[in-house]
Amino acid sequence: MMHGSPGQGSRGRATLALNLTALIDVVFLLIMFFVLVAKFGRYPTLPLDLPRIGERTADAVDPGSRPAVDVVPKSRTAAMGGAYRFGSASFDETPAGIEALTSAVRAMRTAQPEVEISVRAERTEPYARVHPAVLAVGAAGVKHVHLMTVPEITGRTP
Amino acid sequence: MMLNMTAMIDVVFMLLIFFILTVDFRPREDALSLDAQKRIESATPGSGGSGDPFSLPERPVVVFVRSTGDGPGEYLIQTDEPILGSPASSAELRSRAAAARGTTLPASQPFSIRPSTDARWEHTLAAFSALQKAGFREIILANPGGGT
Repeated sequence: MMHGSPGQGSRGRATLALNLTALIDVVFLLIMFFVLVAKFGRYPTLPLDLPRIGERTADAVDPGSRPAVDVVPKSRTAAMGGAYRFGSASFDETPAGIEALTSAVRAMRTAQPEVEISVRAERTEPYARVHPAVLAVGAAGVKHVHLMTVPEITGRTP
Repeated sequence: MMLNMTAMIDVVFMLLIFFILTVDFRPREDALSLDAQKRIESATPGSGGSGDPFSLPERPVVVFVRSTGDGPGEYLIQTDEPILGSPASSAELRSRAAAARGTTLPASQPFSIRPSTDARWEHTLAAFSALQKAGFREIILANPGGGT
């Protein structure tokens, strides 16, 4: 609240009230926004052109809902810093890289013994590049491995 | 009566920002699941590890997969089982395997998918999925280039 300046004459007192309604609207919306978009326990995954196999099943999952080993396409290997990606770490295609990947997966399995791991690779990826990733997850002692696909677009059944 | 538009515009803009930021255009993903401790062939064959194919109760039927192009249907499947032969597609592999299951092949028959080194991942999974849908559960992903 403030008084009118003396120079403005004697037409009464000017008041300045803060309208809180709009402020509260915005604050509540911001709170709602952050509560809803916070991705608790989301795992980072790369956008990949996954194999298109079969039809949509009921137990389809959102990408990132479980930890994943991503096979980085050859064209993006240099940019991503490795051929395989697990969490935010990259691993080389060399035996040392595969061993490091196995250790990283094993560390997660030690922390969560029942952890299930997804293996994600592009549909045109050569098998020889994907197999080491599947093997590494198995060698880390993970029991359930999920080979990720998306439904076929044309509806052709395999 | 004057309608105060300010609060409404605030809310509408916030909703707009919310929907723009939260929409996820990535499709949901399906999974072909396997028991990693049983169904991945050991990197060193014959090492006696838990993935040793020789620990299986029966000799696995070997399914060779070779890609001839990048397209979804551009691959060749060949098996070492005369009943299954060389199906022209994964759909045919599925129907032949389903017909043989429980009759000429035991329901617990193990399979070893043996793609060539450069076989596309999609083609490998097409064969894997076909056998799974035919009802077989013992499916090994063999070392690349182990066959034809």
